[in-house]
Amino acid sequence: MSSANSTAASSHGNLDEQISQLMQCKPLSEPEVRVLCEKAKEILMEESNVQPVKSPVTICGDIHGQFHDLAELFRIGGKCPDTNYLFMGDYVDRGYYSVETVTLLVALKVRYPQRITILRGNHESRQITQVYGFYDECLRKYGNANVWKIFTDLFDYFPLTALVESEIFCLHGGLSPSIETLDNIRNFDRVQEVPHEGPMCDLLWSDPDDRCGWGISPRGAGYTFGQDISEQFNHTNNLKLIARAHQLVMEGYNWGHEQKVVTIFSAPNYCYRCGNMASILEVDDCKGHTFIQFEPAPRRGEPDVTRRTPDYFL
Amino acid sequence: MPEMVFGESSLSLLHISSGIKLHFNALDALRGWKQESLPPVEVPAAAKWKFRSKPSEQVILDYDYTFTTPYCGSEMIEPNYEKKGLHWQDTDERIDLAALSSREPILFYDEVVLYEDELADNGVSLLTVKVRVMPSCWFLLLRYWLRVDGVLMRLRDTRVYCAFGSNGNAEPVVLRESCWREATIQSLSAQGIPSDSAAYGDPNLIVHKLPIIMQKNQRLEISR
Repeated sequence: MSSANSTAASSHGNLDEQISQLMQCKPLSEPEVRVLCEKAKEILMEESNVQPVKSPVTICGDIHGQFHDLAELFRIGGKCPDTNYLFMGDYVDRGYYSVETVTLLVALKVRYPQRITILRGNHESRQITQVYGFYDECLRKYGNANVWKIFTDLFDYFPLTALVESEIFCLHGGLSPSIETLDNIRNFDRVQEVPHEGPMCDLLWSDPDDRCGWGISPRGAGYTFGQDISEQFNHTNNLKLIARAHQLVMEGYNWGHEQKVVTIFSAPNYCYRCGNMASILEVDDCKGHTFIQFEPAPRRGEPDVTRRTPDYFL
Repeated sequence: MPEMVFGESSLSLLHISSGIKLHFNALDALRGWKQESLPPVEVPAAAKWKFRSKPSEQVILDYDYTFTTPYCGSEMIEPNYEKKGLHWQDTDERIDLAALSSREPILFYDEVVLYEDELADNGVSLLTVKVRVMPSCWFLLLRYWLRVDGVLMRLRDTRVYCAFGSNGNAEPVVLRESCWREATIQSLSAQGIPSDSAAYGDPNLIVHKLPIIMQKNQRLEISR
């Protein structure tokens, strides 16, 4: 018994050191990432496709590798585990620190599994990360693609949605014409690459829209859902609100469908040039809602894209 | 509207003695998009897409989500100046690339993003304008860049050039060259050109591999 306790303590000690290293934006070694992701997989595979979450909890949207802004988010929202967090995906790609960002969130999940929920976003996929930065960043920081492989294999286990106090349904993208009830979601096998079609794809990709009904994107793939659809879904499932991320919103959050849906985006000055605010949603003990907006953290060592060097372009 | 519209950003060049102003802004560019209104480009996933919603409940959206625009700038005479007509006339005169290649000092430089869209993670659509002013001339490049992952790349460049007259009273000549290039990923692959999107964050890496589909050379004419 005592030896089991001391093993647990020393493993936490190790993990605590790794977390403090990551908080300084210093990546872990490849073997450390491998061990961490093995532990994370054990925890995540036990979670539901509709993971139940208790209040108080702070709900966050896209981070996209903007590590210093994630650190700012923790300064503003409170440290984990003092504050409980629910992240709705898109930890990687586009920003400069996808590796540090996703490693930190996974480390926090392993250290405080009951205090933080990390959902899957459409960027937590093999295909998307090969185009939008995470794959290249892993090659650059580790010299090979092993860490990318370890993480993208882990992404398959991330839960797709969460349910806060049975009334706020949280997910990355949005609703699907193939899903009427939360039980529909609970019943499918999520451990796979995000497919190009079907209900799992919709949950991670679809967007609310002002038009009623289901909109088929001009791209020929992808759904939008109207207020009638949100109202019906919330009514059927006894929900008050759908909280989702996935789209850039200039104020950091944006109500839609007469407050049946809210979009939350937590990457301020997205891609280091967009000028948007970020926000997080605090749900307190009494299920009251407060949005907290924040701006980019002051930082060093990142290119300032607003000041461009003259070049002899032709 | 594109995800990021920088509606308050613009580039203006004003000729003080005549009041002629050339300017570049997102709103006029989007008017051009609306007018051209190309048919939408299907992404690769479209081939696998199944309609799972009831036909009575679905709307098929069919606007050009790439925001492709024929825009090549706006021109006007400032108020309080003598009214004149401005138009662009086809010409054989060409922008002096030799003069632009000389490394004379750049006195002013800037780049302005007019709009940008991530095509819901299916690529990039970006309209920017950059300008440099040297002791002997100014030069600008308005560039619309589109990459639809797995489908196509499209580049619409407009270059505007003006050499400051060295021959006394001669009015400065403003030349404008537009060049549209486009290729499908399929045709690039057929030529053995790497077609993975990650390789083309910067259009300069592919510009010369994209065939020209439209080109025109014009000069600014002023009628009194």
